Amino acid sequence: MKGNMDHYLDRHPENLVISKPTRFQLFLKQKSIQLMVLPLVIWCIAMFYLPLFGNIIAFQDYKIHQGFLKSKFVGLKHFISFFTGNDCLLIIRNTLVISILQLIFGTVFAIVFAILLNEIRLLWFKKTVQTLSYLPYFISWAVCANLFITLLGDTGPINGLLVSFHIIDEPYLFLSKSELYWPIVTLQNIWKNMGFNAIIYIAAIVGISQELYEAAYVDGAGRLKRIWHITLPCIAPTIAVLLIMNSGQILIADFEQQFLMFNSSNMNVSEIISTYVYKIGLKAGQYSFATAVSMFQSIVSIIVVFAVNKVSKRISGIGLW
Amino acid sequence: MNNFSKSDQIFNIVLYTIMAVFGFIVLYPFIYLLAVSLNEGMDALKGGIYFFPRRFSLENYLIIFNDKRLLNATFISVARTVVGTLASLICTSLVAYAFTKKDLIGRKIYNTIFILPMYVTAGIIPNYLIYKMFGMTNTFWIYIIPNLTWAYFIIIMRTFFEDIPPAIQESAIIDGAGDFMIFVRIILPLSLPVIAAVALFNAVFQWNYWLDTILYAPRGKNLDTLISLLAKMLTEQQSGLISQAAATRKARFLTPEALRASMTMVTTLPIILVYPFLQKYFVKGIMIGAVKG
Repeated sequence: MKGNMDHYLDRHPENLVISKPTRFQLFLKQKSIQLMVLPLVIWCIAMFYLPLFGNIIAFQDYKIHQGFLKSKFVGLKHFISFFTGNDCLLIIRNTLVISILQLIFGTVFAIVFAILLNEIRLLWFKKTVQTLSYLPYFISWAVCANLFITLLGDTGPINGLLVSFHIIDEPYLFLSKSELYWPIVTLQNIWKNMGFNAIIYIAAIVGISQELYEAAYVDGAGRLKRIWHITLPCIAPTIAVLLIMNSGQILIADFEQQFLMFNSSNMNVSEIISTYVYKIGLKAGQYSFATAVSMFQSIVSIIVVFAVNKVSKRISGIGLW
Repeated sequence: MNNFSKSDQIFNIVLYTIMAVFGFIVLYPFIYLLAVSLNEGMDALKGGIYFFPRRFSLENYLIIFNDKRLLNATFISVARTVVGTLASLICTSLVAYAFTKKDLIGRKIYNTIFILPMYVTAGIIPNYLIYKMFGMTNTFWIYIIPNLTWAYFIIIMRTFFEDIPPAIQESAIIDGAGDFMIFVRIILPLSLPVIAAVALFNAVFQWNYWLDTILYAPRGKNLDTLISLLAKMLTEQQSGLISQAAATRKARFLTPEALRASMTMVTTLPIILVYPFLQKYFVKGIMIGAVKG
């Protein structure tokens, strides 16, 4: 019984009139809890913070046998050679185009979908459509890429339909046309992520006060008018916050998607910074150069988020912090 | 007023049509791939399949369970999902439980250490070099160790643990139960819903992910998962697979398209089976993450 009482007092030191224990003593007392969390803190530092430190090789001529500490420092050499090289402009252009298309169309489609879904009165229909809408989000990119490649292939149903309606005479090789690459990956991204992206807008719409709609209804506003004058203005802050958050993706684009949709006939439009880093770094073994490129990407991403946040705050008063 | 309700009707017709078409667009690719996967490979190349297989055949599926390489990939897929999910459940719940203790020394620092990687990550090259340093590249552990836990899951679990009435724990403390005992005997049994949710998310991630195979286990022996083989077939790194598979089974009608279709269905089916549970949890999860994160 005495032991139990001690244990109880350990946890409720306020009931004991003794001098305040030092932090170290407290630490020892909670060692069973510390044992639960400390190993994983160390794991976290090893898995996420050591690689951050490893970015140092962007300023070195990294050699595997010399390691992070002993490789020769070369300053900004790799950054300079990237910016003066031939690939720089092309891959930055591709990354920007792909991610801006996805940002704009992805956002617009998600908002339209959320608004339309909210207008549906048949509950079972609404639920079914919404449940279906985010199914593709849980499907692997590899599966998603395969679906599109098969559907658009020369024996696929899209070519089949077009030929049987005599719109085209022979199968059209959608995926070999570099001018179609950007529209295709944009559509693919919408297909995969629209339902998921819409969730946050749906939540925002549900939060709008019904009184506003009733007042507008009394004033004779039709459904389209109510959407335009009530729903959209009410979710504008949500849209702004998400746009600011996503602006950081602008130099990143979707690595998995581009990696899979890449083929030899579209490489001049599908090579983005991330796939370039993979090829130059992991495949060709130019670790330092590739790290410099990916570091440039991260730094610009952070700057963009801060800049967009600042501009948005000045214009509309909406910001992340 | 009559005019008003008429425009309303037109609006409704357009609305329901658009949504029905959208639902079809989401589903159709899966229906088509299912039809192709159940069709004889060579015959499918003639085109003209829309909803149903024309020459029914299970060959494309049998090859997965007869070819050594594909069978091994299926095994790795399952192993990675089971081991990865269990490891993540243990680690995530331990950390989440520790964070419910308000007097935990270093709580703030630990919290920051776990949260920061959600926003700042190193590139793939430093990651690769560090994994290599720890000897994880080209081993099975590359699937498990880097994914032990994730701040987002910790937040979801902690939020749930904190809602458990403290009175239950206090009575256990009076009975002389230690922290670990309370965790195993009281907290975990009361948290089955959140454990199921985190387990599902983890399992889906482990089952679906393939980039780490390609980035960090490029020379791993027999480390390919079904999904990474599919990815490799798409990126034309794996053209040997089809001829090998065809040779071992004397599958005369096998084509890359048909094999990809059946691999797609085998990897998608488990997701669709757990999907009803998945979607129940994850809208809630997003909201918790958005509010607390």
